[in-house]
Amino acid sequence: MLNGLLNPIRGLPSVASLLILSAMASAGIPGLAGFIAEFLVFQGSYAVFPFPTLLAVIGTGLTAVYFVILLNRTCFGKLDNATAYYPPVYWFEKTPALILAVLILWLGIQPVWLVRWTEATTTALVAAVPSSSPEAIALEVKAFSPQDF
Amino acid sequence: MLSTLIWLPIFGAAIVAFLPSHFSIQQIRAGATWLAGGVLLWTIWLLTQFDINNSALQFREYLPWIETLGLNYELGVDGLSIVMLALNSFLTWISLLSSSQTTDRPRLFYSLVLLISGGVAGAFLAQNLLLFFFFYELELVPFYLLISIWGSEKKGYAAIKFLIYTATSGILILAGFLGLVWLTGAPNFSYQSVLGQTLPMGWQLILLGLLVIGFGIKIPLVPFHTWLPDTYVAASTPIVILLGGVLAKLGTYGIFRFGLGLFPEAWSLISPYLATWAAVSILYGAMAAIAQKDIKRMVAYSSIGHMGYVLLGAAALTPLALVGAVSQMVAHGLILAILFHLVGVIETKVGSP
Repeated sequence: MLNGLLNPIRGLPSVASLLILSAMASAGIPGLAGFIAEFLVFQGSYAVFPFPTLLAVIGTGLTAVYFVILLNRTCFGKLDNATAYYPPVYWFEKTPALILAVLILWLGIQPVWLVRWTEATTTALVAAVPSSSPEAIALEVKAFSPQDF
Repeated sequence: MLSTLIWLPIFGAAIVAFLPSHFSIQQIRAGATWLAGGVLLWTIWLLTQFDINNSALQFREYLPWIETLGLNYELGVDGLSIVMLALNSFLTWISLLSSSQTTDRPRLFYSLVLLISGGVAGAFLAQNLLLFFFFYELELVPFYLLISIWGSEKKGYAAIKFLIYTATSGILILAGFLGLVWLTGAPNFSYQSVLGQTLPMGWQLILLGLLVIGFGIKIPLVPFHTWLPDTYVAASTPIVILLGGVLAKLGTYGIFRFGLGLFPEAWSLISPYLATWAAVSILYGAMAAIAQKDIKRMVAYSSIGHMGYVLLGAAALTPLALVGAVSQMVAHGLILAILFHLVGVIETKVGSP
């Protein structure tokens, strides 16, 4: 059984810490890219579909549950003394994860870089829908704009 | 300008496939990675040239091709495509970086990955329904080969399952496109000529239903998701990054561009059901992930749940929710890539996960 990968000497500490970071991003911890996207979806959809949005928020909570289970099974706990002789992790294996981690952090802290490209297009898409009145859109954009970040 | 994103990787794929035998695996891997890096730089340059305040298509390209069929080479980007293109170029590069240094049959492997990259870029750029379909189907066989040759155990089963599901998705989408053009009597398959169609609501609902199910298989939405865990577990790390990070986005992109974009009235009519469907997908993905023993399967089910947010945002039809849905596509791609890359590294170091 896999356990204790976070062990600083005989485990895989760098891989395990990056795995914790990415699990946090996936579970929607603020400051990482996953949070801002989910937050914008919930903020935008709660007024229209409150019940499905609440269910989705519960789903986000469950995400945290299974990532805790996953990390508990892999990174934490005690290393098995008999089997824990892992080969070293080379830089070329860490590089893709490091690049991705930097980008996930950057987009989490500076979400404008993520949302600025699409704003004009998505607003036009919504405006093409007959039932949504322009006043309602203007009101919502005024009340909360991604530019606030 | 845009054609470079399609044809540079595809020409690269042709060159990599026929490299003479004295090139080592490392050289082939490095060559493919540098090429993907070049495509990424080109995409970044496009991002700097892109006007973010303009909601219309930019950098348009047009070449007549098979005019009797209504199939022309029409490309363009708007705020939705440019984000997807950037994600595609970036994750292709990442997936090549994460590929093993001891890949079997490296020429075929790297040329197929580059071919997929060009094809996906073509699908995100196409402004003609048939051209989109052509690029959408172009990914099918390379992915089948990549899963069935370089996968782990049960790769044959997973590859066939993937092929059948994705081919069905393609047929439904083609039926939707053909129906739309025939019923409206549009002169060709250009996106612009079917935009703003005024079909009776009954037809709109049928055509939109075909497209939503077709793209829903690709995303995937519950209950069309069963190909995904098998495929993600069987495929090697770089292929999962491409499958989950880029290919799943073809489904959500299609929902936005062709579902919501072409059938706004019908879309707002069915959006309450879509929102419920999205919530079911999210909860199902999360609960199924909790029940998994295998790390890869856990992350695969988590991916199903996270794609549900995109549908929820698209169903809500508010500017904020749509921006969130597009951001979620990018965030999901990046997070899935890092998770599968790390799980892959752990697997190679520790043995079975």
